[in-house]
Amino acid sequence: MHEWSLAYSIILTLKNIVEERKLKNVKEIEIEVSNLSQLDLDILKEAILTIGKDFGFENLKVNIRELNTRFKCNNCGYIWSWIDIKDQVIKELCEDNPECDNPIHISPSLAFVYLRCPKCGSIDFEILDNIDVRISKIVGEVE
Amino acid sequence: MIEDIRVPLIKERLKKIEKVLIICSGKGGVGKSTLSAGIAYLLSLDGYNVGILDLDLHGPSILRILGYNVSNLELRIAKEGIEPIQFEGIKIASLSIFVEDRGIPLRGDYKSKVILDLLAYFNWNKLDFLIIDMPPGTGDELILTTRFTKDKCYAILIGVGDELCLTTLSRLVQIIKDLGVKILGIVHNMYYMVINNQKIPLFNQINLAKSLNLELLGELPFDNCLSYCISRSENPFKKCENIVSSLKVIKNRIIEKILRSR
Repeated sequence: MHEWSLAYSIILTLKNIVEERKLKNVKEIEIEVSNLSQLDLDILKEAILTIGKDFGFENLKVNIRELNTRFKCNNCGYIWSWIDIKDQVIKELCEDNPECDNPIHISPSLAFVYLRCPKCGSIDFEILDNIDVRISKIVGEVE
Repeated sequence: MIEDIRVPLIKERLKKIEKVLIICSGKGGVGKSTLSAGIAYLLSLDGYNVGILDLDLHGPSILRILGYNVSNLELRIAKEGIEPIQFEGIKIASLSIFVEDRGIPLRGDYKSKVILDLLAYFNWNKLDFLIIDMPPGTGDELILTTRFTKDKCYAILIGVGDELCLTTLSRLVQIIKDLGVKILGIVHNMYYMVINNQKIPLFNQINLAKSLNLELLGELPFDNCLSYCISRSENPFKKCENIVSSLKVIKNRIIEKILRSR
């Protein structure tokens, strides 16, 4: 369900960019998301298209790129990926409902609350990749 | 693209909020959360639509102060956003809703990201007042919040009457002024105890309002009733008469000052 709020944010942002840069006939956008957000990409796309129509973005082509998130331990230097630990973390957060709205899904920075280095157990680690949802490309015409 | 997608949504949400009150101090443990919760409760009794955003990210306590049983917390999300907890007539947003009683080891940029997430994704709908319970100090919470709310934001300071609190408050006052936020005044907290109907002075009795050249909004007593109620998950603002009578004076002054400043 959080995908709908994100889609609304994306469309409001798109509208601002289009106005500021005097774009018209926006045909295509590319969105980057982190896999740490555990977003349902089909729902996100549907929500962007639905909300986009209300703002006049008809026939929009939406490409969503899901990027891997890596972490580096500041204690032992170990590097790991969200994919390596995802199942275990979601099991802890969601118990029997793997599609639950867990805190990392809503605010990926809250990974710091739940994750530890898989090697040494430290909570002092870095996130090496971007975890924000962002518009990475807009295809349109300049007025 | 460098635009943060949360920012336009934050601005949309804030359009539906009439006034933002930030409750601040330079020091911890001086009563910010108690004041936030108490003022919110009294405003809601007056019929206002009130929300509290608990921005004390490392030690959220608003729900506990109001007597909410945090073991019953449930994250509810609708298409429009995360639903604040509705309790005692107040809408409440807090990291407690996400993390319950876990420690929150957030640093730097990630703290800012969480603040932006809270501001963007909680769906307050229409509010007369959003009260923001700030952590101590002058960090991301203060700067990010005032960036978006400046035109409708009022700061209320609180402190105890000692030198250390005065020093930290004087720094905070300067920063709030530099941020262009109007300061409504200051609350003197734990200035006295009432024993056998007599007021017993506490701390060094430094007059913070006079020292900082701010209006005194009121004084709150030290009252064991508060911690007693919190330990029993009871709303202290229904029981602690000494605190509530002082809070009513403060709440009325806040409203008067806001009306006058229009």
